Amino acid sequence: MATDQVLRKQQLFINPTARLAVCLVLDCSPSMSGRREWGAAVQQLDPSPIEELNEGVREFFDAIQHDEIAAYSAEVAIVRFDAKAETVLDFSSTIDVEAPTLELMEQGTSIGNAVNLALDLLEQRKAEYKEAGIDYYQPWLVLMTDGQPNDDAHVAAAHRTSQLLEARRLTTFCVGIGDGADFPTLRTFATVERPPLRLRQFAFRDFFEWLSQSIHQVSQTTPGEAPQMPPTRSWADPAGPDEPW
Amino acid sequence: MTAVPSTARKDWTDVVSNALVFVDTSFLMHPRARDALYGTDGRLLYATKRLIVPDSVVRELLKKYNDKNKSTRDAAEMGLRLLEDLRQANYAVRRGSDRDGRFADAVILSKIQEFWVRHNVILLTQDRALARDARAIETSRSVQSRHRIFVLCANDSGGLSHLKSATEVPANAMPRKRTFRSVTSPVIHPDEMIGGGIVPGIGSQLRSRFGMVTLIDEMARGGEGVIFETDYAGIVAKVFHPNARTVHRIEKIERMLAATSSLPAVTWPVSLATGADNEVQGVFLPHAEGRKLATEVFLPNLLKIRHSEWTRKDLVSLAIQLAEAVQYLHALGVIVGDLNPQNILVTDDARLTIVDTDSFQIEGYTCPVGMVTFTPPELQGKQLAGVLRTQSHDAFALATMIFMILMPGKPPYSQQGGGDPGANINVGQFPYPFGQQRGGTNQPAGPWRTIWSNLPYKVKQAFHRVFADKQRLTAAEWAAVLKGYAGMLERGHATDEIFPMHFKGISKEVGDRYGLQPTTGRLIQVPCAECGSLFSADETTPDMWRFGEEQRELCPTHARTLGTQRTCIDCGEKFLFSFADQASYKRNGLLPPKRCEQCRVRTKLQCAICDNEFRVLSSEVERFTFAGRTLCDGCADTAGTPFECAECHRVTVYSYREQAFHDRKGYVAPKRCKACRSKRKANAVDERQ
Repeated sequence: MATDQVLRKQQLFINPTARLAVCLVLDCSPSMSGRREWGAAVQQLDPSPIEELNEGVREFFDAIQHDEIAAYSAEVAIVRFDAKAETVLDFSSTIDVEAPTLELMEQGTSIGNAVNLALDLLEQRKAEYKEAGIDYYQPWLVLMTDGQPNDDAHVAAAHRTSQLLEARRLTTFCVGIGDGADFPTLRTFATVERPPLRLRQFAFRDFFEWLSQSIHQVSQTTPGEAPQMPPTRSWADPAGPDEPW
Repeated sequence: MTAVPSTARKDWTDVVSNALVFVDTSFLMHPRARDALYGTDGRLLYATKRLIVPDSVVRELLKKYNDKNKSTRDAAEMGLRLLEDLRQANYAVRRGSDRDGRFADAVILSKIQEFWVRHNVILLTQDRALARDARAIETSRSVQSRHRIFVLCANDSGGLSHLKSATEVPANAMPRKRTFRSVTSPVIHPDEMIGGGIVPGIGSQLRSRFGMVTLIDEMARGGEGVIFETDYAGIVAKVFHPNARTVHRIEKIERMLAATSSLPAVTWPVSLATGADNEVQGVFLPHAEGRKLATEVFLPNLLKIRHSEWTRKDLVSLAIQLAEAVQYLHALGVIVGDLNPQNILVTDDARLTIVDTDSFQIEGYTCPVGMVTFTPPELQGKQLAGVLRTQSHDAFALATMIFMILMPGKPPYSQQGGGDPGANINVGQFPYPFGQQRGGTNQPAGPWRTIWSNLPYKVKQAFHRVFADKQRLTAAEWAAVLKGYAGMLERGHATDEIFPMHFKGISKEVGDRYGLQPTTGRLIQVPCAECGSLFSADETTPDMWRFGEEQRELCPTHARTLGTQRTCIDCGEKFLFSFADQASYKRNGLLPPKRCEQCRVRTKLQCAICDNEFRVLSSEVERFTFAGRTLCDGCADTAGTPFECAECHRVTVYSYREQAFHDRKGYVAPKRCKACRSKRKANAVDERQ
């Protein structure tokens, strides 16, 4: 085994903090470009949603790395998807990882493929924790999409997700972006207590700031109580279809 | 240092001219006390009018003058002579009366507290615990004074030195004044939020019992409030969030203010903080130095960077301070409730303070919060609000905290195959071995097993009692165990490394007793070539941990799971001949196995005739089965059906083995006995030739 891999293992073992694996599942289909064509008229949002998303992810990593407890507790993976899904960043200690820049992909929105890949990554990481004897909190899955699924994979993936949710082995945060988001589908990946929320006009940075604060709260949870999440009003659209958390 | 005022002799004269000098029994009994007072250093005290000797000190000396122990008697006599000389010279004065408390220390402390407001105070003593308590008056800041408190002792060269404070809580520093009632149920009157008032911020003025205080800067933000620096030196303000500003909380703080705590390791509230509209907005607390235990000790990476000079002595000292603080609070009748590493501060010189004291459980006012890792199994998953916590609950949290200080950050139930911190506590499987109770194989990977291995027997025993046998040790018991550990470190009987590189070696006696391989050489830490985890290896026996043609270093787990493939001669399947097995076969001079493990398993059989038990390979069971009966080799040859030989007419036995053989071959039963058959066979051969 190469020396750097040995060192990575050492780093994994010597950190005794209970881990919180967070998988970000992010829609990178072309609609995130902020370019709309209405016949001849072309509308371009500036900054574009994808730029806002990248800025949000960067600030998210920054916030975690500056929070000493969260830096050693949170581990972040990123899956981006169009009709396919791919791992942009696999799980590792957040402290020495740079935030990746997400690029736009092709047409399509396969929420099912994306969630399945994310759940696989989470399962694998949990198995690694177990093998090394590292404590962990039940992982988080953050799903952000602005479109409707273009295949049926989401039905099976939603079934898999809701089984984990029922067993309290997973927490999901589903966020719809813009008017095109398919809330009935998103709802199948969420619990009644924490339904999908609509993001207020590309407020990605506010969302990720909220997420890093929520991560901070997890390690301080009193037993028998759900983690105290900060209010979602900083980023959630009050006109969204569901009640905020 | 020898001469006390070496720093600034002139300033020292100023200090002394306004100082009251108290003399303690222990100082007068020191063999060099006379020299210290009359020598060069002693002259620096001449600016004071006289030395004050409390009446109780004189009484203590007289009592010791009648002590059984001769050396105590001699020292007391010397002290009394010195005292007499000082009084003759009008340099010492006896103060107080026999109505004063029986304990000289308590009298001295109360006198210091009384006079320190207007005078500098110099205490001459050899008692480090008293020194600590005296200094605590200065640092507790419940009373403010611009004056100073100095504690000096006689040193062995006949001079005066500053006396170091003791780190342990002496029994007589235990609160005597007021303790809290123990109650059987939480308060029942409803808790309400106190509305109204403007939430104070930077620049706001709040009233305290020592005047108006201005909030200067925000220092920290927590779940219940915001901590502000104030313009009052040494005092911080905790301003409650509106939803934490409740009737119960304020009543609880009022009760706390009615008592006193003299232990600097606990930041006891000093006053309520009221706003302009007479609404209580928060509480004033002594400022505590340091940063959170959660980051300074529980994150090994930061521990190594920020406290690179710390050794195990510092960790043990922190654990002792914590145990003693809890012991002190329990003696006071206080339950900590939410003992957690965010509420404990440590300084660079390893001093520890418990903060956030307004969350303590005081009488029926409960502590509604806690952290999963420090919550005992009986409270896991329960709503803590309204639950009356007990010393036993605190004891679990304390044991967990001590474990996580000594094993920086690793929770006691953290283990392979575990997971959720709360679930681990509920299952209650302690993975570390102790004595003959061999631990599971599920100890977490990393440096933890090496640290555990190096802990002294009594510390391991204490952890095992709590986490394996589900008993609770009191804070006082923990303090005693830890002080034993501190002593061993001091004497060099235990490793002072925070992350030791070696396991504790196995001596020949221990090896014989538990059937283990004794350590013959130095133990070194080797990273496994397969998984990278460090394991300890005996330098002199590389064949135990370096395997294969490539001589790869493998941890015990991978030595058992890697090896060469062989083919089983019975079932034909491939099977693993692990490196660990190869080494052990070689050591014992055995040939490599021909059969796989399943085929090697021997089955126990019992002979149906002689009842003897014997073991055979599973694959060979059939060979011992004769017409549905199991027979041993001996009985199969000798027992059988009797018959008369057609030729010699002797009665012989047709053995079961022969019967089985003939059945298999499809032969008919023989007519002649074996001897006659052999003869006929030989004749037939001759005839053919």
